[in-house]
Amino acid sequence: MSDIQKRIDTLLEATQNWLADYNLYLKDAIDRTMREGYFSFEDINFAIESIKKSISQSAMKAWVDRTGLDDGPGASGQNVLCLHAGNLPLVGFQDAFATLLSGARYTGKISRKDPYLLPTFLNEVKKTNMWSDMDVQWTHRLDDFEGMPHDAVIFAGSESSVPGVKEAIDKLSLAHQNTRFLIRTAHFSMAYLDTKDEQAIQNLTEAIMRYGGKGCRSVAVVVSPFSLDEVRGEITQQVKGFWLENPQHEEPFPKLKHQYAYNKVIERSQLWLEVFLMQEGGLEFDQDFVCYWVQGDEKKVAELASDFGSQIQSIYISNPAIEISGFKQRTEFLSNAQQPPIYWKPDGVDSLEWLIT
Amino acid sequence: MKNWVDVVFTNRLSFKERAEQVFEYQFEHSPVYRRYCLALDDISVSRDSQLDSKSESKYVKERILNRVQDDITSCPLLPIKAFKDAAVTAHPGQEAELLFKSSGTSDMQRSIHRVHDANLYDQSLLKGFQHFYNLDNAVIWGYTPGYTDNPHSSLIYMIQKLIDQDNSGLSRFLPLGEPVNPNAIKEVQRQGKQLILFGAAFGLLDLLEFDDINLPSNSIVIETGGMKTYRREVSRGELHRELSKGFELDGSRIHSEYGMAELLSQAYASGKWFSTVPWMQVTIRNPDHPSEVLPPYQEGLIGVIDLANVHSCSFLLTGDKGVMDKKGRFQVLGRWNPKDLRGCNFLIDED
Repeated sequence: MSDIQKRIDTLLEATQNWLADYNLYLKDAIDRTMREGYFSFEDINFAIESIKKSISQSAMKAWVDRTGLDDGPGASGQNVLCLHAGNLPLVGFQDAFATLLSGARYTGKISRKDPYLLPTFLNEVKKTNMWSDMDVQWTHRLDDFEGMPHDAVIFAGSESSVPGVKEAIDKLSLAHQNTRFLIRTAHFSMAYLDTKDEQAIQNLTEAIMRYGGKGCRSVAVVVSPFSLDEVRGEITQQVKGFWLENPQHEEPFPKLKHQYAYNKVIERSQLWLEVFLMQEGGLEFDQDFVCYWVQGDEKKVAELASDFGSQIQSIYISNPAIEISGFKQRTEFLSNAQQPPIYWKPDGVDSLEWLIT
Repeated sequence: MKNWVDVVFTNRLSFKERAEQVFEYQFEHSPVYRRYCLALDDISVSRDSQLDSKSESKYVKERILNRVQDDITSCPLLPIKAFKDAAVTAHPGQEAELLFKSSGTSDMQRSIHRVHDANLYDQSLLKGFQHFYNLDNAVIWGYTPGYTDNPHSSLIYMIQKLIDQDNSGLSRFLPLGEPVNPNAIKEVQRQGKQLILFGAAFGLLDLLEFDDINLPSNSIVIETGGMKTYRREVSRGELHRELSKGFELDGSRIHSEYGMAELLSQAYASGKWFSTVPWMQVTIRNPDHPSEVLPPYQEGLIGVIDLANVHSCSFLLTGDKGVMDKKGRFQVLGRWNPKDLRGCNFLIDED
């Protein structure tokens, strides 16, 4: 059996053990995460279920085949540092998983905003014979790794946060001269809604509202041939249903109400949802819990995506016949927005492929 | 109609008493401000359909007034961008005497301030300037485009008005793209006047590029902001050092003016801290909760109550970042940029 097949099998086994009903460590981590107010039970559960659905022998093989990992040594011998953000439950799972699958040694800086969930998976990995304590290490404090240079560093950042992170990496000697950096900068996704179909609007609601709209896969901008007023009733109904099952974990700042009042002043069409706001136009991106509605066609989607540049993660469509010119690689189905396959490409870059290149 | 010039500038009434009168007037007469107050009110938010009903409006006004009597800072502050998106006026449908526009290119959406009482602005800018400087003995120079070319600039209007106050004939707009005539400086000195030079940050720096300019030691250079353009950026501290060196003036002679098209009053600073005129009050607001006033030395959004804006809106939340000291003076720290929202963003201090 090849090394890569062994890694696939072992990771599958570790994942199954991690997600098994008898895994009290995961149950405890979920309980603590909820109790300490990091995320809601519904969002944690959703994130775990999404991972569960995305991992299978066939999905991992497909990923490996696509990257050509089966033909080469992979990233064996490499030390990879993953700096995990904590804006969503288990948001760093794919990076940790890709690192392990690549054959590299994993060093993880676990987010203080999601401190318990990912370590329970890593513990299961360490229980296997394939990865030792030296191969899989993590901490909640970056300075614990001081003086350990890495061959690759992966993290998500922005124009304002990257310099600070790089400075800390330098200061703690976590990189060497030839260290490669994979820095993601996408912040949000867009959706094109060309139908009033109930399922499409339900998918759109999930894509907007899940995790309070915070993930980079969450929809912050909807482009539609319909005005917001034309689908107000349908959206309100779906949102009510969504919140009955998934009460929003975080309350918005009072500033959201000021935005509502401002929209009233300038007679901007809007949908006030008590803890979320949808508004037509005014794409300022100056606060969370706002989704912007833009009336337009596929050309408008392409135009906006071009304007937003690297801030855009994905463009979702509800109908396979729709083509967003120039953005085919970034187009996905709306139904996959919050449940991507394990091999999805953050910022258009396949993490596994990047690690073994 | 009430004589607002008397109300705004009087010292017989406290700031709070004047602000209450202005609030009541604007709530009654400015549809934009009234809509904002009503929509912001808790009850209005949950009873959307009643927003425009007269009884609801009266009820909300009284409630806000009751709060204002306890604390003037509880007046809702309208985001200043409203001047871009709506007609902010207490005289809807009436033609304004002056129209000020924020700077920007023709394809940009610019703020429009409809000034219905030019005399009130004249009084505000003159009284305001005199609050800080001795206008009677001043020669005003503006190194900016002239008023004829920029009839919609409130700053240039202000400089023109200040120039008009001087009978010596020495006050004027300096020709752009030319060095300062040393003889003109000598003439100011000969007449025993104090030279006050206005200019935007990079305009003044460009002026220094032409030649060494040795201004009389009692001169004052007032920079009017504009430290960040699409091509260049300079910090206020660096700018003041360069101006002090270039004009061969002591650092204390380099001052700053804080004003904008949307405000009819100005604040001035002879160091880092700006002071306001008695009919203007600044607070620093929590950007996430704009009704909350932040304590001294905490950074936030600059909120302004400018009573000279009586015919538009006096209660404004700017988009500028600022901080206040214990004496009520404030610093302007640039534009408020919300930290990166949404998406995964590893933050060294938080993650």
